[in-house]
Amino acid sequence: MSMVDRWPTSPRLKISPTVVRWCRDEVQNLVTNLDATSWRQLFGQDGLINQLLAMIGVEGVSWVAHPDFALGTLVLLNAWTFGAPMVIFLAGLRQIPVSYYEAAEVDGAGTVSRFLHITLPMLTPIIFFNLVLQLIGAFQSFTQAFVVSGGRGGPSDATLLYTLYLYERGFGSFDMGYASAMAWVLLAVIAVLTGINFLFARRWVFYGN
Amino acid sequence: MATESAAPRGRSRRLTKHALLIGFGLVMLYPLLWMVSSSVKPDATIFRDPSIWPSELDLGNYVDGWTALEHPFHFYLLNSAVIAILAVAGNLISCSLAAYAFARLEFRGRKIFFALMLATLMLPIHVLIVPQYVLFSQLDWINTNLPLVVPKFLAHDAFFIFLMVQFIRGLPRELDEAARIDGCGHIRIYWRIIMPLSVPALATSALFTFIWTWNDFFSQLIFLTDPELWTMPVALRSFMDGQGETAWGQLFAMSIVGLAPIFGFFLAGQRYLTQGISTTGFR
Repeated sequence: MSMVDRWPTSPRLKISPTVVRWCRDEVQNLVTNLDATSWRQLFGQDGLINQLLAMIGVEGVSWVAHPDFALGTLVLLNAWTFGAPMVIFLAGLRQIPVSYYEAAEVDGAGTVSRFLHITLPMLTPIIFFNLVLQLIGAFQSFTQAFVVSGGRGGPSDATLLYTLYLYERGFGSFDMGYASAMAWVLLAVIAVLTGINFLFARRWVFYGN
Repeated sequence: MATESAAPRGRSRRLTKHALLIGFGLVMLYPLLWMVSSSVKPDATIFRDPSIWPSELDLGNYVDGWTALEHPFHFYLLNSAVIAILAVAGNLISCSLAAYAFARLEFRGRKIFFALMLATLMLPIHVLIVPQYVLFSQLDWINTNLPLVVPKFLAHDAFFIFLMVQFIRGLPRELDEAARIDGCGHIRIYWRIIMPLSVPALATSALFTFIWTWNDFFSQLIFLTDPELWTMPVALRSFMDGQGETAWGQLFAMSIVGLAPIFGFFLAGQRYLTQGISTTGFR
């Protein structure tokens, strides 16, 4: 507990150490609960995934406990949950006026060329939006890696993402200054990459005029 | 086959296509189906039996889960609904106004403000939550809904501002200019031209705001400690609290109940998403 008191406090901000400890405990609680049961039950050696694989004659490994597969499994899981970008693409598709397609059809354009010359260009602002947001989101990935590794980034640091290490420094060893510095470095890296994204966007994102 | 003519071949191709699509859909739905089936299984068989089809149907999880906590489950659903509905209203109004400004107005420092707005997306919530807590506790807003609602009315969700900016920038400027020549000010252009043409973007924002607020666990847990204010996700968590055995069946059953409003919201809003300006728009 004395480690917690190293969190810089002023008389007016007495609440902070409690909050810090609380945040940490909550994340920890949630994770140990999830970790011990559902996640391992799904991806462990005898988990559901392997039972399903066994049905088609494939022998699985312990997906999240194997250093070669742990990160790949997380990537796959992330790719699996693409609902949000999909709905945004859907809204983007609805924004394209039907008259463009009708005109193209009158001019004899086929399905493929309508897709390439109307849908894709008209959708570029939304493709760009998803690209920027997914890039930012990917750098911030935390929960799944935290859950499968119990917060340690294992096995053999295979899932030790930047945010996990940040959390470990900040809430694990209460090195808040170091963790804050790491957060700013993360911000800088993402900002530079997003800046590059915006620079290149001038070449391919089409806003209709 | 020699007898196969053009028509059956077309049909078998359609069949293959649909089989593939349905198969892919099932893969995407698998976690949800698993949860539905687990919610009607007795606790002991949930992690043993990989089959989606439950061997015995046990609705007791729903009955017991509803009353397992201090308040009946609809109490927490109502708390969640108040926050979620206010958040949707706040985001639709404030983010669309901010997006209109970024997409259409020329003002000093627009690019810098835009970059700053995006930068707020780049810090992980775990970093932001402590200073936020300090701020809200100094405002004496802890254990009220204010920290979860007021920021939504102040265009705090950069995600939706950026989303709407991308949509608005895709709308032809000729429409604005025509309206300006007819004597419209910015408010009228925003309300009469940009908003009606942005229905798909607004529907998307409303949908995501609702889902993300409805499912938001972390910030609701931190700002609402009083059990009288607990929302659905926070209440769900107390199913796996403490040292005792987690009632998995009840947890999954109530999770399904908690998902139902999202499903309803999506069904209700779907037509705004799938019927955009493409039918009503500019011709």
